Amino acid sequence: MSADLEAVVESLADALGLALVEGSRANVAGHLGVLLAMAATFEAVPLPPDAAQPSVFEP
Amino acid sequence: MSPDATALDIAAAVRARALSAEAAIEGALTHARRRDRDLNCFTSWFEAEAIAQARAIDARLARGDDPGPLAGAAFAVKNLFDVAGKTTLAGAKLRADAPPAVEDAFAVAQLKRAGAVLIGALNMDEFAYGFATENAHYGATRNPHDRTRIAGGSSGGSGAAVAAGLCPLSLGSDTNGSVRVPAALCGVFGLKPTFGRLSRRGVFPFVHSLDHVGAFARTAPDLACAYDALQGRDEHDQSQAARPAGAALPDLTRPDTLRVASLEDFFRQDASPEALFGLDRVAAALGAQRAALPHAAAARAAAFCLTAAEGGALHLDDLRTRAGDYDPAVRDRLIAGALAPGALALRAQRFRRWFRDQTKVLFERFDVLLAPATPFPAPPIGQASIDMGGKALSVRATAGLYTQVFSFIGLPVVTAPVIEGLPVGVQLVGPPWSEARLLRLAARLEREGVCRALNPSELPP
Repeated sequence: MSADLEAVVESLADALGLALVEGSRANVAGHLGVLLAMAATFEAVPLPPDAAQPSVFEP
Repeated sequence: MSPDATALDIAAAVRARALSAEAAIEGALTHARRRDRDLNCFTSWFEAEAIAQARAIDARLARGDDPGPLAGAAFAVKNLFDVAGKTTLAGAKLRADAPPAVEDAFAVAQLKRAGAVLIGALNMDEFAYGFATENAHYGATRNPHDRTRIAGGSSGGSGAAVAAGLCPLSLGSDTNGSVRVPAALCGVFGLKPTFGRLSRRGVFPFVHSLDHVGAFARTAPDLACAYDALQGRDEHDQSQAARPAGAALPDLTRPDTLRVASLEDFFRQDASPEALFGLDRVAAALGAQRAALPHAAAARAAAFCLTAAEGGALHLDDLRTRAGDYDPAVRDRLIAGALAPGALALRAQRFRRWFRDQTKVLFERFDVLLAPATPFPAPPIGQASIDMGGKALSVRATAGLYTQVFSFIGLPVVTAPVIEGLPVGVQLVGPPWSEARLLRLAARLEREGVCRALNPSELPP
């Protein structure tokens, strides 16, 4: 999983034009792994269909 | 005056012309410069401007004009606030060559208008992304209660400077707990108002969805006076709510009958004995019931993800071109946020509104909620991780475990200090726009001796 995520990090960073410095790839993969795990925490809470995306755009 | 003097003590002496503002500020600068050698709170000093402002206050008094309720009281600001003619560092090396700010941040201008005198800018975590103020470029700020320990962050210089009596007031910003964490670890009062209450104009951003301006003081009346001064409509800040100002100081001693709940489950399960001692002491003093706030862990997680995603997006251009100028620990977190799926941040925003509505239900039963400010007292400088529930977790990320839940939904919070050994803080959390009531409660806890900051003269030399 970790090696897979590091490969994903390298690929995404390259696509976004981010040059990872030495040692950074594993750290970034670790942080991204934490974010995905955290996302699973709030994604597990069932929201009602009317829990709408708030909009801050006011034309 | 003594470094133990409060802002209101100093202002009373200046307004009564028992002390000139110039003498007050010269004394404050001399003390602060000497004491800061051991603490590293300040990154810049504005001596000439401070003396000039103090002289202007004395001139106003001589003409019979009102110089404001904070006349002659020194204050300092986290170095992400714009100060006219100075570079806004935001704790970053890559901002060191940025052009100077054209005008003061709205909050800085408001405090000056109230007569407070700006003496310098304060250390912070780079771009406010951290809870430690162990800044790779400008050094660690040391905790005045134990200089081997962190001050907390990201407004660590602001918390430590007030605790040590370098200035009686300071400004910070709070996105996820960056006022409340250093206030707790340094043993002072801190205020994070309702989201949208205070103008953010002239404050270097971190997460637009979550950024707040806040303040620090050693006493509740000083904090209330600063809060009153900071309010005011800023037509140029679209993020500010169109709400009338609600003064706190005039009614600070008015008795309230409050229904108070001490939050359990998430807010106790990983808390240290010190944090629980502080919480239970305040809860006992207020006759608090126990209550649960469902999905608090999910709210903290959503705040964490939203922060990373928005922060990463904000910094994407500089990460492409100047990645080597970032603190590595901050850089890698920002890059991870920039790489995270966009859906993650959108889902966090959707959860945010729902969680806000769930919390409103709790405020039908209670006026104030209590929670620890941090899971632990200040860890040693250089300690990267801390054991919580059998897991080694990052100090930099975890100190805000209990604060992120409330800033996520913009609730106002006053952090009140409990000091038995190393300080801890207790969050007094209210429904939106209840800052004045929370400050009254903090003042009551202070008068009753439940919560109190130490005087600088009581701290280790």
